[in-house]
Amino acid sequence: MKGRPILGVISGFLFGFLLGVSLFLWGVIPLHSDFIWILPLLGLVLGLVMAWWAPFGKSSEQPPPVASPPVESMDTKRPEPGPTD
Amino acid sequence: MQRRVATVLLLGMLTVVLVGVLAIPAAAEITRGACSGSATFPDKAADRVLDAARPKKDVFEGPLSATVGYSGDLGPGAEPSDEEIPFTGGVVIRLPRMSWQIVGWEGATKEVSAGGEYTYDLPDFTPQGTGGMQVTAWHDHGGTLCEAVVTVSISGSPGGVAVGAAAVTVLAGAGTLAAGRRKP
Repeated sequence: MKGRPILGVISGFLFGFLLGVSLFLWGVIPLHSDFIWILPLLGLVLGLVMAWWAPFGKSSEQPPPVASPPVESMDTKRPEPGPTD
Repeated sequence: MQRRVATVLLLGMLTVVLVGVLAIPAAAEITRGACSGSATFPDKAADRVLDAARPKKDVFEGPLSATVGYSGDLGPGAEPSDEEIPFTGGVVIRLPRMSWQIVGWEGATKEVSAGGEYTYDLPDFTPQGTGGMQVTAWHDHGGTLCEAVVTVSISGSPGGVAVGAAAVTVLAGAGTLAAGRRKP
C-alpha cells in the first residue's frame, strides 16, 4: 500500500463510529438504527481504500534513470598485442 | 482530480446515511395483545399523554425529570379473577442488533388493570434532542402477553456532548483522509 493502512483502519473505524453517534445525538437517526454499526464498518473500509489509493502527497516513485552512453575509463588496460612473426 | 474523487467518496458515504434515514419505515404501536396503556406528563405544556397506541414514527419528547401518571389494562374481555395470577413484565430499549431491559417487574395479582404515579430524574448529562429511542413495554399476565412499542426522546437541544462528538468526528475524518497521504 502506498498510504498508511494502520492509520486508515483506526481513524476510519473511529470516524464511522463517531459519525453514527453524532447523527444520533443531533437527532438525525434513531438509537436502534443499523447505521450505528454499519458506519464503523464503512469507515474502516474507507480508511483502507484511502491507504491503498493514496491520492494525496507527492508520488514516491522515482522516474526511470536516463540511459547515458558508457564512459570509457582512462586506466582500462587494453590487451597487448601478441607476438608477431 | 484524485482529491476531488476522495472528497466525493466521503460525501457519498454521508449521502448513503441520509437516504437510509429517509427510508426508515413507519409502523405501529401495540404489537401483541389487546391491552391499552398510557402515561401522562402533567408538567408538559403540550402533547402530555403518551399512549401505547401512538405510532412508532411519532416521537414523544419527555423531560429530563417528571412525575408521571400511568395506567394500563389487559383490554376488553379481561376480568378480575378470584385467585391471584402470576405476572411478569419489563421495559426494553432497542439498540442496534440487540435490546437492553432497563426495568422489570413480577408478582401475582387478581386485577387486570393498574395505575399510579412514577417519578424519575435523569442526570443532567443525559443527551437531549437526540434521535428517537424505541422503547418496548411488555407484560405477561398468566400467559396472556401484551406488548407495546413507543418512540421517545429527551426534550431539549443537543448540548456540549453533541458538539464535542461532532468535533471529534471531524478529527477522525481528517485522520481517515490523512491515511491517503503517500509514504515518503
